[in-house]
Amino acid sequence: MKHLTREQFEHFVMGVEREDDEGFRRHLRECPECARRLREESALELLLLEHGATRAPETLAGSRRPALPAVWRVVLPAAAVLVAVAAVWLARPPVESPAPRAARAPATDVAESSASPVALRARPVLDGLDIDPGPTRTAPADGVVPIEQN
Amino acid sequence: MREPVRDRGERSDEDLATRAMAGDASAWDALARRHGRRVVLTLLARGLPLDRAEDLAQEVWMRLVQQQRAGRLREIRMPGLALAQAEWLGREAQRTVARRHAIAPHVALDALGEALPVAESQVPDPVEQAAIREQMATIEAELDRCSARAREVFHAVYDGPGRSHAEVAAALGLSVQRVRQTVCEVRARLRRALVSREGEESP
Repeated sequence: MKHLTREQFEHFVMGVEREDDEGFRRHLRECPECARRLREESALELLLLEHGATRAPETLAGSRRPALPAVWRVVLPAAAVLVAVAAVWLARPPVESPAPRAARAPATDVAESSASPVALRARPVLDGLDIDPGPTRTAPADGVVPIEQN
Repeated sequence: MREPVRDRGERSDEDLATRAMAGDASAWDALARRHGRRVVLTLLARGLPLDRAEDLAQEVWMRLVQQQRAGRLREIRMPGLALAQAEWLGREAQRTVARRHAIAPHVALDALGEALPVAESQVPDPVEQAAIREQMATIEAELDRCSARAREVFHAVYDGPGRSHAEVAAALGLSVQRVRQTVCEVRARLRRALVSREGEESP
């Protein structure tokens, strides 16, 4: 009796589609030796799948960015706070000149803001510090903010 | 047993398990497609004939779905739950065959009883665990001796949830035939290394 080839076993356990599937099955029913080899190949394939499954978390972990050293985990937030405070200081409103307000050009908020990049960047910080940013829209009772009308 | 069609862009096992626990039939189908080959291999590795292993693999999924519908599954962890169920059914099938051969050899093996419980854990004994660890170490050592390209192909096929040879070929810019050939070569090396280790251990 001609036994099945190693390639046939390997393709079977790896799930590769075979041309002579019925012949393969028929032979396995009749040949204890090939049935034993199928058992061994199946056990090997399971072992390799298990090996791969246990490796997966390491692979994922290896692709992650390394964690920051402990000292930086303290220093960086502190630095961020200092930068935020500096931004607030730089963005504080200029001291009003004694000239009457009407004498000033009717500049828009946007025009004033565009004159100072720092002010533009500082706006979120101001919001965060609960400084009144001017008139704001409030949501109606149903929680849906209406589209602004011009 | 054909190569499973991987539903790419697909959901994780955990997500599918959550949906399956809620009774989503499509989630059960996806889990069975994803892990079906491993279930059949588990039964074959126990020494069950191919036809019987495939029948029992179906039984594994049917039983899990039935238990979920009956509210008897606390959680679904794949592939562990399916493999544990396969191990259990395989063991029971072998016991039944042995028992019936002993009592009445002429009685054919019929369907397994409906009262079989669901196996929920698969904890190998310490000796088996040690053997598995040694086998894993052997595999790792032998893989280190393979070429970098061979290792890359091998890991792409076997690591994690697994990818089809066609997917690996596309990802690495190789032909499917080349991927298959590489995997077979590495498997042959690993097989030799494992057999050699077993030979060293046995007196």
